[in-house]
Amino acid sequence: MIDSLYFRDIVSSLENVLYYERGGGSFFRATMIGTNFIDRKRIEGNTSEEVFENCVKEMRENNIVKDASYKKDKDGTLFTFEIENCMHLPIEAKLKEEGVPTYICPPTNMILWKIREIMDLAVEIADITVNQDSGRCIIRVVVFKQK
Amino acid sequence: MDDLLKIIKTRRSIRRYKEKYVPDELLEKIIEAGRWSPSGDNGQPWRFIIVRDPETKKALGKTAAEGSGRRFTAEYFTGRMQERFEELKDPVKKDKAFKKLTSGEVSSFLVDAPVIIVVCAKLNVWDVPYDSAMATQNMLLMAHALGLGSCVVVAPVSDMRDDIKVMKLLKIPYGYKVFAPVAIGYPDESPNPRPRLSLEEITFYEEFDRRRKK
Repeated sequence: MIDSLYFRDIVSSLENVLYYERGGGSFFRATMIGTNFIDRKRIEGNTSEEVFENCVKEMRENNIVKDASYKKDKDGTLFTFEIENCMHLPIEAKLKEEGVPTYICPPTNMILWKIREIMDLAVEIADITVNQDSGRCIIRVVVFKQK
Repeated sequence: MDDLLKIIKTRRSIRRYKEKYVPDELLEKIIEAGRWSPSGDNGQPWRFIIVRDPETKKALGKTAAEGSGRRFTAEYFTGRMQERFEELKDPVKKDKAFKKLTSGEVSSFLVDAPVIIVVCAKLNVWDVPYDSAMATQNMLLMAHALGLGSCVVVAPVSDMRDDIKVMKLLKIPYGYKVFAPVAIGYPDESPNPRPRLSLEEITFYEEFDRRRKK
């Protein structure tokens, strides 16, 4: 089963290894983790919000997340995602306990991958906050507007 | 020995270049310096792509600007950049630095470099990053010794999403990776040295954090 303790141990060990090897740079090496899944789905949308909703719908239907929502600031540069009961959360919680900073969020990677592909926006995770007690993660995302 | 230390200490990361042709003979000397670097098990994983084509440089520059711009915009919005520049008190200088970073300008100069040597490495050796880093440093020092400026620009390859674009652009086959593009040219600026940690701060004796008794 995908959510078995064994599988979690394997994935968290791999994340730990990458962090040990690359330090802060791991963050940028992991931006495509999870995107294979969303590439197998037909995602469309005319706005970033629609792309977000359509990605979340696929993730909900496949039990990857229970739900997800977003807010954006008034000039559209900073987005805040809230992801609820993600399948990946126990792995990140374990790593956090071990002192490894959270540097991977597969659901956000999927959303940003599709926003970049469909809306041609340069998007980046700014930070990830994992809260195992509430079962929610907060991910802040920025849009880089190239002059 | 003092001459070598002088070359090491006077090298700078150069981001502005003269519009002057860099002859192939000098590039060969730079690559020769890379070729004589140490490598684990003598694996010599390095391969070098010399790029002069303006369109390729433009594409690399665009990817670099986006990579840097995204990363630094994120750093700015989280306040980490402000923390990093806490020591810089002059508000005008600080603002200039923030703009240079968040605009991606800090890496977009790649398009204007007369030459880019893209350091690649094959993956089926044991020590890819170490070998590649040692070769690159040799090359930077040789460039400097030849009167050329250089700058390692990892922005177009640090994020996997950009890395795959560059692999495709340069037709790099599976089994190899891009380590870093290195801009090369005659310097058109002479930056001051960046601050360095003192020897005392970085040197320990026998075990981590143990200082020499005074």
